[in-house]
Amino acid sequence: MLRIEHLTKKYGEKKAVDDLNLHIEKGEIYGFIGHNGAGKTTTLKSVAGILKFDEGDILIDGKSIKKEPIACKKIMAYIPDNPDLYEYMTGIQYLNFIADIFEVSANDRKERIRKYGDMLELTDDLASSISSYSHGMKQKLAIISALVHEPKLILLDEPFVGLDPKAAHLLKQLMREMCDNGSSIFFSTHVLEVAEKLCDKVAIIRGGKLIKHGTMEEVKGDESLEDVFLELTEDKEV
Amino acid sequence: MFKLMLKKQLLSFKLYFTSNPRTKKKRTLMQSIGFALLVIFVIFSLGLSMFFIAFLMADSLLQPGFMAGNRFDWLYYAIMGVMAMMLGIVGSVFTTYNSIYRAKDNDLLLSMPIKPVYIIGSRLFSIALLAIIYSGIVYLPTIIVYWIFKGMTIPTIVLPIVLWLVSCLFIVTVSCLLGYFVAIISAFFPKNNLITMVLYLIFFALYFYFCFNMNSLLEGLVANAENIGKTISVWIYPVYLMACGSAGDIRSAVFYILLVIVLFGICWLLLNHSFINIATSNRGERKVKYVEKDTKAKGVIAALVNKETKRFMSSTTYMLNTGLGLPMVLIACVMAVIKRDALLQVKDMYVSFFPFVEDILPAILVSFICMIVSTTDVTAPSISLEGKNLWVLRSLPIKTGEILNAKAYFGIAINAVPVIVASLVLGLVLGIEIPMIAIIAVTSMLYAIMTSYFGVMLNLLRPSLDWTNEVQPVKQSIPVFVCLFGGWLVSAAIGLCAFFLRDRINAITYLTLVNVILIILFRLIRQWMMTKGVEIFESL
Repeated sequence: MLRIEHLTKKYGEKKAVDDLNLHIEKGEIYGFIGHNGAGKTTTLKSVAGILKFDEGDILIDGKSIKKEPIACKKIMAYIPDNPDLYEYMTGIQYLNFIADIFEVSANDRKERIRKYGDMLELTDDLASSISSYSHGMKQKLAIISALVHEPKLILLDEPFVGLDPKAAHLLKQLMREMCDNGSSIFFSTHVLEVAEKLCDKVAIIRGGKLIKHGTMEEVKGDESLEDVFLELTEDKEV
Repeated sequence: MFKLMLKKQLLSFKLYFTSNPRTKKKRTLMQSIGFALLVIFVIFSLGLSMFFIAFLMADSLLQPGFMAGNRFDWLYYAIMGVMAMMLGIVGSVFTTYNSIYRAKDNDLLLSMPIKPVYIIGSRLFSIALLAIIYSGIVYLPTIIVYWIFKGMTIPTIVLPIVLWLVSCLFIVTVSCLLGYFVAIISAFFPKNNLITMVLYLIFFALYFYFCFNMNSLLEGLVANAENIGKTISVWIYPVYLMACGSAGDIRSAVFYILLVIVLFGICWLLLNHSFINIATSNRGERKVKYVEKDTKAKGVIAALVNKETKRFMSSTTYMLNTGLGLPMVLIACVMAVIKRDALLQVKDMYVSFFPFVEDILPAILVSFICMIVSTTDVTAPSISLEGKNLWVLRSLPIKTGEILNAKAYFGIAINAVPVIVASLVLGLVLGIEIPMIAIIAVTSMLYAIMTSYFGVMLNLLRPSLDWTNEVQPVKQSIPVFVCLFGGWLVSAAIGLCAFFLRDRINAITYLTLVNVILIILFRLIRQWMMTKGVEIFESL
């Protein structure tokens, strides 16, 4: 579903991502963990087609993001860590805008907005202006906007930040449900317990380089993910 | 503690001069001094214009023989005083609204061991400072002109200055009350941007009416001084007291001071009593219950243009600074119909002196309409206004060319109807034939298309995405400046070239030539946009 090959992104002389290779299959939830400034957001944005990268390629369902960006974006959804949405729109206007861009039919969008709006308890607020939303409400709206076109690949940057416990639980359920239906999810998080319980595979990044990746069992073995993460990052510092 | 709060408020005044609001960087000493001098120059210029108005007023009302013995010195102070108060109120009401009802640091300050009375006091102090500056622009010249006509004595020096400062307390009181109403309107009227825009337009219309009719208004004032004086003394008694006190009546001055102190005291008590409620209640958006409706799916371009429209309609700043051309066209058409005979008389007069005017009239009309189109430069800040929302467009499956085209289409759409209506109405009023009116409409429309794309191109060349206040991209950016003034130059050139070429080619040929040039320019700009422009946008 997603193949990242020799991805390198530089900001000036500094390599934010250095020769990254990752492969995500259909139906997988892939966690991406690392310390602040490790290169997680740069990687996600490069996959989303927002950032141009210097070397390597990213293939989404066999198509290159460099050569066929529109075709790739049509089957993808991206939610940043701090979703700055159009504050001059209401929630429903924003969802309709996204649905129009993805050419979702009127009936389909109505059904999906109702389903996910009720699930995340945002339906009653959809007629209000986004400027009146709290951070958590914006996060929920961004999630609904990502799901309205039923993408094959969902990119999430710190998706659980700002969500109340119920919404976080529902999001985990949704993620599992999407993957069971054939979609793939690639998300970054600092909450290692969530990554441990939810992810099929995990990758640990440090200083732009991938230091460990594989299935959860391969990566953590008998230890907790937190211990493995701290050990790997501490080793490098020593 | 109150001193600390005052220091914090005064810091914002200092930062206004020492920090660049766009880049957030500290200005150098020379830059700060330069900026301060600029502000002083602007205030001085405004004060000078007020000085002339006061002089005209005083020349009529303060003459010794005026109204055969009835002294109307107080009427002079009443009229100028009302102007000063209105300027002070208009200048400070939105600051009052933002600093008392919408201040972002209310929660922070209330969570600290600071008495609310100190918070209110410091905020009112900064509002009073603003009131002194705004009202001083009118008051000080008023007082100086009075001294010129009536001489300087202790009462005429001390009383007006004291009453000016006391009037600032009155301005603060009224601002607090009006600010409260603004807060209520904002909470209950979701479309308050439109209401604000309409109010601004009414204010501008009144301002221009006053400026252009000042002489006749002053003549009317002088002719009816006695009646106006009686009305003021009955219906606006505080103003009457202030005016009499400023003219030297100590008793009136004392009554006015006491009245203002009482009113301010009531305002203070009310604010003090309800401040925590006001500061912590969510008077933001009113919650609207969602009702599921059937929606029609739009195409990608329609969705993008709709987004641009919503962006435009959501912001008073954007509308007022780039959309003024729209009401101007409407007003021009209405005035042309109402004053048709006068307009035709003027035209006939010019034609009788300069027969070529008839030939170049279509080009002059095109020039006029294009100037108005240049004022509607909505596309010039449209990329900068994406700001921190840019990731949304960049992450969606939309070709960059479509995004840029949609921005230009919005500019074209917003100008289309005004251009056609103006061409038709003004053309018919001026007696231009229908086929020529059609050519005028086509030329003006081609100009609107070219200038819409030009605005997007300029913004691609100089985008500014890191603004914190949308005034920066909309009012203070180079793309807007170049689009507006460049547009006016090009529009004027259309009229001027018609004048210089009047003996060589006729109007139809000239406008056809202009159309060809506009089409070439449009094609070049669009070509650039779809190649280099796309590259630039994708690297933002």
